[in-house]
Amino acid sequence: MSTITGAPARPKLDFTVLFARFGTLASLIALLIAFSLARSDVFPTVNNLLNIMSQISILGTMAFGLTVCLVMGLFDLSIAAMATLGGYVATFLLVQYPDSVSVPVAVAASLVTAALIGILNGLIVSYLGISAFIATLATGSIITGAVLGISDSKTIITGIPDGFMAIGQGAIFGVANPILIMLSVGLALWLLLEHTQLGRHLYAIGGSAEASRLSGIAVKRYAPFALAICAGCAGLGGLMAAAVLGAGRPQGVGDGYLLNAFASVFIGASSLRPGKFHILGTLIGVLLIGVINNGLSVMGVPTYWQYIVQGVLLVAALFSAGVLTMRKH
Amino acid sequence: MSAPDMAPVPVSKTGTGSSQPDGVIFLQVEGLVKQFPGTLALDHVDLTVRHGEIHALLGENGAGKSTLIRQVCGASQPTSGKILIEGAQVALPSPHAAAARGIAVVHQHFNLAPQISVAENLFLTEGLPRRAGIFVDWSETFRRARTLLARVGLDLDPRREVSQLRPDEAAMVAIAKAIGADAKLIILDEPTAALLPAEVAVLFGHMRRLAAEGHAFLYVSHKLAEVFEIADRVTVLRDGRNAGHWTREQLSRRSIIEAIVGSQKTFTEEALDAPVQPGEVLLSAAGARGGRVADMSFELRAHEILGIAGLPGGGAEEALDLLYGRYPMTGGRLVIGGAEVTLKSPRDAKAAGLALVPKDRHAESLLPGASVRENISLPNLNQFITDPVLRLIRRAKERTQAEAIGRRLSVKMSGVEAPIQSLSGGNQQKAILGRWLASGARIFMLNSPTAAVDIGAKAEIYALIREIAANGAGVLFTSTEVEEFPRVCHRVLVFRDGRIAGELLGKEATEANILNLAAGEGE
Amino acid sequence: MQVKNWVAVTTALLASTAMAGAAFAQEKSKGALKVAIFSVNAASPTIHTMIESATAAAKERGWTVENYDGNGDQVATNNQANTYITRKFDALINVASANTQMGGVIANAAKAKIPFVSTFAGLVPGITVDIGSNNVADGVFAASTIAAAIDGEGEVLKMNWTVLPALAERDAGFKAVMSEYKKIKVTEMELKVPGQVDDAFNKITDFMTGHKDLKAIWMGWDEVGVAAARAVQHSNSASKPFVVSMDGNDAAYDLIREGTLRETIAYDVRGMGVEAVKAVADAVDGKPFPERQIYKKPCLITKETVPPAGQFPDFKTCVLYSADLPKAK
Repeated sequence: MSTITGAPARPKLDFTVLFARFGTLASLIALLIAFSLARSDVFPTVNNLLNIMSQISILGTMAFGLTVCLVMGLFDLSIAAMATLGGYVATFLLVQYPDSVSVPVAVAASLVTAALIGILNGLIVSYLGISAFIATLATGSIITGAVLGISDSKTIITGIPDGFMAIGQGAIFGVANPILIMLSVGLALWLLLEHTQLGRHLYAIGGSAEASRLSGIAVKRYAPFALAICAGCAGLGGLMAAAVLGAGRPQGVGDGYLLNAFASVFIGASSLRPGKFHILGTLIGVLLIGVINNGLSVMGVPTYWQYIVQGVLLVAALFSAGVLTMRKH
Repeated sequence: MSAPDMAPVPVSKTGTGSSQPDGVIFLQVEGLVKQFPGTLALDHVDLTVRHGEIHALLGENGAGKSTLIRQVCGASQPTSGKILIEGAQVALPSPHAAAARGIAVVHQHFNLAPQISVAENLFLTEGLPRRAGIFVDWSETFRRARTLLARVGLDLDPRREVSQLRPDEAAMVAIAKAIGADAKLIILDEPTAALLPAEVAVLFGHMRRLAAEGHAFLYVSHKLAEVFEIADRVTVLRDGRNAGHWTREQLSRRSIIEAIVGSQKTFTEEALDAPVQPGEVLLSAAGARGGRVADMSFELRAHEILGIAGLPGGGAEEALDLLYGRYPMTGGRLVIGGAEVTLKSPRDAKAAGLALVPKDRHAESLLPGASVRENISLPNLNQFITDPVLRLIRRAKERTQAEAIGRRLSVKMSGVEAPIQSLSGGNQQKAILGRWLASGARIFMLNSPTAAVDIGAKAEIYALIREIAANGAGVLFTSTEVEEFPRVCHRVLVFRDGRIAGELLGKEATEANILNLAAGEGE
Repeated sequence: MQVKNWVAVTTALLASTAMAGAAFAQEKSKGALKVAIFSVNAASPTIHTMIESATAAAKERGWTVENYDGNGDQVATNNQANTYITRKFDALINVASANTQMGGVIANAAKAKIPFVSTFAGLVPGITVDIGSNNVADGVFAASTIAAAIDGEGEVLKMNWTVLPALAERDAGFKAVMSEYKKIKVTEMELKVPGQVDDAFNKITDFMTGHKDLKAIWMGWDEVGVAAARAVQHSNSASKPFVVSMDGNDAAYDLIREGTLRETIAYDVRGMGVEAVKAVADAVDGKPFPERQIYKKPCLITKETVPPAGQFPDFKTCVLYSADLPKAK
């Protein structure tokens, strides 16, 4: 392990590094160009680009939250159930108590419920010493069961106030609300991770929990916080889904998002700052998934190709990041 | 790598010490050289091990013991020199080849798989006996395992899980495994590190009996007392060279310690003078205990560099960990800066003005994926926050501080945004020290701060430690390299079995005196 | 071979039920029977409704009911069903788990002379009876109304998940109709499951940006039909294609009342649960089943025929053909 040289010579233009850093960004741009050429009448329109943004807004919101806990090295598998919960709780309260519960109260109640369960996840991880992977798998299952039980498996459609639907269906200056919600969440979490002491501590713990502990960081307090953020974002994602569809579904809302959220965050960790989870990277990952799905459906490519392309891309992204990490050692 | 000269050479005598022709030579190492980039790890080393002898190999950390063992057991290839087994020169391209020649290594932790049975461990390499080539024949497995254990004199149920064994039993299982693989020379690398004295006695009894049956042992240890008890011969390495060779009759504590540390170093020419102006008491411990530390009372003053020495497991390193709140103190009092404190966690310790540079840089102090700036600012982010609520970090201020630290400690790097992994070990360590300088800590606790650091950086780090003390902080210093204490410390407390066995002041703090106190032999 | 087996099992069964009937003079079903009502995926809303209605009907007869949800695991479902047989239950009611995947259970039940009644599960040799719907025919009804409404001309989008046999049958009916209309251009898309609701929403939004002249959308089942209706409602495209779907769940009725969803072919899901219990009673009492696959009539639910909120269509009186629809006011 002993090192003989001092600071190593700066590498010149290194294509592997370039490939690893900008590979995902480059493929995103390449895809945009390819789809634009293929369907120049449809794909590169403002309308469609806003449409893509709308379509990734739920995934993006959830993936941003997931980024926060992956920064700390925690896998949150409960986000699928948490999304279902977020949408259901809000619509349930609004329909059940139309006189006493206003839209902001319902939204707050739903997000707080999700965040509290996230805190519970964190307490289990920090103080019972159960890995986040397993703990969130367990709470996810409990939430799924609880929502199914309370809802009697029935979807809520009638009685959802317009004020709630506006969260998903309204727009400000032509930009749909879900896009604005996603961007605000992204901005807030970017600030949190990159520019606050809290965020820096999350990165430090993810890098080396022991070094952080010895630096006087109260490591155990951070898991509840990170998992609460992640749960809140997942709940918000589900709430947006409910507002878009005008339906409080008791099951399966988040199932389609779980794997895509992980895929985007991991694709993100291979972009710009290889090996690090970060919000900007996650945004690239989410955009990549959104562009592939939108572009392929606009071109009328069969659905199974969407799975295949996305899988290939994930492997390529992680491989390119891996190449760089391997070369470091 | 190819073997050295291929011509088989007849047995010849080794250079150092006098040899007694009382056994047939099994292993002979002649003029072995191992060159690593930048360092000569072995410089023409000779070693002779006979059938039926217990041969102790001694030396400081970095003297070349483990490098020598790695060449002999096939884990690494020498640059030049010869290895002869029973008179014939051999090439050992792999551990497998060495095993085929009858050489087995039992490492400190006995390389056994803890979650499976003794019997399965015994046949891990060769495979379990089978029926029809497919199904494990368990009754045959246990029968053979019992025979093998009986050969080493161990009465043990081979169905027991290894993790359930006492350390001496595990050591013997590892030896049985080696003997089962027809090992003629068994290399034991600090086998007694985890053993209690009674267990050591049992192990030595077994070793003596097996030696009488003709097995040879090469025994690496730090514990001189044990060496005197068990060794037929002793070879000492220092700085990659032979530093002496003794037979049992010639053994002398003094000469062996001198050989280990080098005669010139027994004098504290490098020792610092007593502190120019010992300052106020920064920390005082009274009867502090917890973990391996049984009882600890001392005072640390400003401007002072206090060494905490001892053999591995003796309580010295553990003392620093205990003071830093890494594990709970079960008794005693601690006064820091005039006020009694209870340190429940590193967070409390840091708040009390303590700083710890732990031993394992990669596992305990670096943020591996982060930049130099992020590594320096890790404990100090609250110095850069805009306000107590949002706690936004002023990055420019953070960067300025990191740059200042980098300049002050002359950290060689392309900039503070460079990944910490791109720095050499010494510069990484300087950044870690810088982290605590920036934190304003008043008590620095350093555990082996020069581990895995090259020579030039070592000197810089020593100078830095002196500077820290000169500026008014107190330093608690410990190291796995005993020779560092005389170089660094004003005063040394020597731990033995969790207690302070003695205190050495200024010029008295020689390596030999420290080892004597630590080993617990007549002073 | 198959025919032979079929005949053998049938005769054995007929003989045994006949004997039982003779001995207990048709009154056995009045006793305290123990029946198992299970499904491979009881959380699905339609299946849930069937289980509820069957369970209620069985309890009304004074029977003991045990429910089981396989949570999507067919192997676990089969194991559980076999346990019911060894525990000597008086009958098994399989709610919408494919009978083709329960061959072992069906054979065991036949051997133990335990009636095996299923709903929406397909005709397989050895079962007592399956109460279902003629999915091919229903697909024809839904497709015919589309063809009629667009005057046999224009662009139609079909979205489905043909992995599920019942949905594949509806697909076959749809295609059979559309193959007759040379001027209708059909685009077919497969949905991603899980995540089908959001996927349907996004795919339709994407498709509409590129196909301004889309006239109608046919969705394989109501869960995604609801999402399709919402997607059309929210799209800023000038043309608003109408959506036709199948199943008849409460959420679909809500949207039909709103006018967002044009129509659905509704199944008498509750009736099927009740019918299954009645079939069990008949089997226990030794009544023969001349046909092992029986169908219940579906209904055409449009704005004119949709029941008021909180009520269900009356499947005895409802219409299936467009000419029978009450005239709009």
